[in-house]
Amino acid sequence: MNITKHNCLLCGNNIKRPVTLSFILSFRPYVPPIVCNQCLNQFIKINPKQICKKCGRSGTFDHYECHDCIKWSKHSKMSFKNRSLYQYNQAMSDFMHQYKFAGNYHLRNVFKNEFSLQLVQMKEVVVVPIPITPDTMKTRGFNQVIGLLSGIEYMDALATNDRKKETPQSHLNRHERLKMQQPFYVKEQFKSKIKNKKIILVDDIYTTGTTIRLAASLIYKYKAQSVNGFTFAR
Amino acid sequence: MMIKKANELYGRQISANLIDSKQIDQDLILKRSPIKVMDDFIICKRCGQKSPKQIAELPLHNFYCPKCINLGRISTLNQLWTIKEPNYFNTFQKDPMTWDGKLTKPQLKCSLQVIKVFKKNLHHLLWAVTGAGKTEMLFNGINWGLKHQKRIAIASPRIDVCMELYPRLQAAFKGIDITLLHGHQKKPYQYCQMTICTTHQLLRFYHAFDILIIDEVDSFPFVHNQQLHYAASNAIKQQAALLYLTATPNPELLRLIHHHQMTMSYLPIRYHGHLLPEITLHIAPRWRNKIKHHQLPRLMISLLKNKIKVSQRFLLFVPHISDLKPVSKLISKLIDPKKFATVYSSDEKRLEKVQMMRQHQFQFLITTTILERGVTFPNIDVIILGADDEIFSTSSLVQIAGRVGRNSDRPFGDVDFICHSNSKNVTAAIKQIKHLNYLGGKLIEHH
Ligand SMILES: [Zn+2]
Ligand SMILES: [Zn+2]
Ligand SMILES: [Zn+2]
Repeated sequence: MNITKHNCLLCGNNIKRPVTLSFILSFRPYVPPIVCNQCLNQFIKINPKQICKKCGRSGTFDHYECHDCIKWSKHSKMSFKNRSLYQYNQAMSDFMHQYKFAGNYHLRNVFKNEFSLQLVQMKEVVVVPIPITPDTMKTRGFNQVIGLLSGIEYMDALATNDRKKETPQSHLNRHERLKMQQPFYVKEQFKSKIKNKKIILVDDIYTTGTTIRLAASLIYKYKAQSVNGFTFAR
Repeated sequence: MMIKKANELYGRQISANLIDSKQIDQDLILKRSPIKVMDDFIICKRCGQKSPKQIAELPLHNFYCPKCINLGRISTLNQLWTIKEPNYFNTFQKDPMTWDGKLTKPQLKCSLQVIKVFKKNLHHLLWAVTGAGKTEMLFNGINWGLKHQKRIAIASPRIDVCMELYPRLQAAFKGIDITLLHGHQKKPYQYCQMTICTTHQLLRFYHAFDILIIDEVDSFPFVHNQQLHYAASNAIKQQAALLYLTATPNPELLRLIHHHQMTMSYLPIRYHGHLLPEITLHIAPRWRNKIKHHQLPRLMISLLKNKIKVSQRFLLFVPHISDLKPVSKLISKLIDPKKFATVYSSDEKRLEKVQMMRQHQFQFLITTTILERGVTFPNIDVIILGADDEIFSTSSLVQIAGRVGRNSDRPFGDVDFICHSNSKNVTAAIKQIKHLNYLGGKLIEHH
């Protein structure tokens, strides 16, 4: 039995994974592991059987939807559901910090196949990523959502309105967030391409749902058949 | 934190996105592209490391260095900015050194050598035994450097060494501002003639220092780390003095000396004028097996009992954290468990237990390699169970042995290694200490 040595992208420790005889005989291509099991085990997948059927948050809810979603439905009648892949726990928060804010783009490889596989399985949908501002693009150099797409065709239909940086969302209370003006617009060349399509908006993190809902309401204006959301973490 | 003052760029290399460019005269700034892009890989100019393109790429043909990203990412999106080190420092009417302690004769000899290294911009290794008092030997040299407008840095791979050096240097050079840099530093960077930093922080400097002292070169993570070696060579000016300090040089350093790329001097005796305690080797075949069967090696039992009988305080080292529990369980059958504790690096009560040991509330600690450097207790003996385990390098074995006899009240003590069989590292450690004591012995004869 051989032990191969690679360093875990997250903790830096050696990953020792035995290459078994049955693996060698399977003639499958060897993909070196990039993250150790100890790190991987800290990420918790959302169980699709135990969620709010509207926003995709994990947990068991007496009603069909969670408390927040009941509030949302009082505000708008827009048809919008969201699903998310992972729970936004401490490990995920640390991961996003490294990936997004420290800018370690290589880390997209930890999750991009798994995330993209989910999208592939959705039939007849058009994937539209939530965009980042040109300023962010200039400093970060990548859109973290697009970074998680691997072999996925997507329509880069949205762009951000050119506005002065506002108070970060986390400083706003719920009411203020709801009042926030539309941060996106649809690029000219895509305006006609949305009609009658089933759109899936993808984002990295679903926090309050404000951003992705604003994008959804905008897309509906261009006569999409349906608009739903899929985010990496929730 | 944005850089707003020109002097915060003197001799440093900082990504342009962290600099408020409107505040600084652009003509002063040397701008370099931070990444060299080759066919299959990239080379980072900040840390000197190669990375394959596929792990360093950003969209739109941009690249970043993943190897030094923990210091803040640098990429082809931003240039690396530097202002050439101008050595804008105060002139001194009198000596900046306020330390008035006395050096022993051998220490004085070494300290004169240090001054010579600084004057002549040499690359030099000072091999001073554990407990030789090497910090004090630097003071005269630093004093000379400060007076001559030299920019000085003292770096160590270990943050605890930096934290310990800082107050000592502040006390020895009252009135001199010193910048302390490490990964947990919250204070903003300040341009000072003297810097104390971890070797990682050197990555942010570019041709800055006239004098660079690297303490504990043989310890992790500096040893065998190309990136940090590059950082050190990039942080100093082309004409600069580089002084390595060590108690246990590794073969890599000795090879450089052998090839005349560096000079070396020894300080083979301790500040109290005594030699290093030598190692006694005991062979206890298959001791680990014994422990599995709930037995301690017989010679270990008698060692422990003797120490308890004469109330000798000691540290018992074991190779792995997982050894702590079974060993301490067996010992508690022989010795009152109130007399000792186990402690390891991520132990939540580590500081508390070390403190209790200091206050004589324990007679001994059972521990892993974490206590090998830095932590000293007066009048202590050491035992290593499993000194032949590969986790103990020659250097860590010498360091552990060096915990003994540090005080002038009791400049001797017992160092016992218990091994399954002899190992290369154990033999080398025994030989190294014998060699130093041979040199030290000659020195003592002379005086
Ligand atoms: Zn890991
Ligand atoms: Zn919900
Ligand atoms: Zn680098």
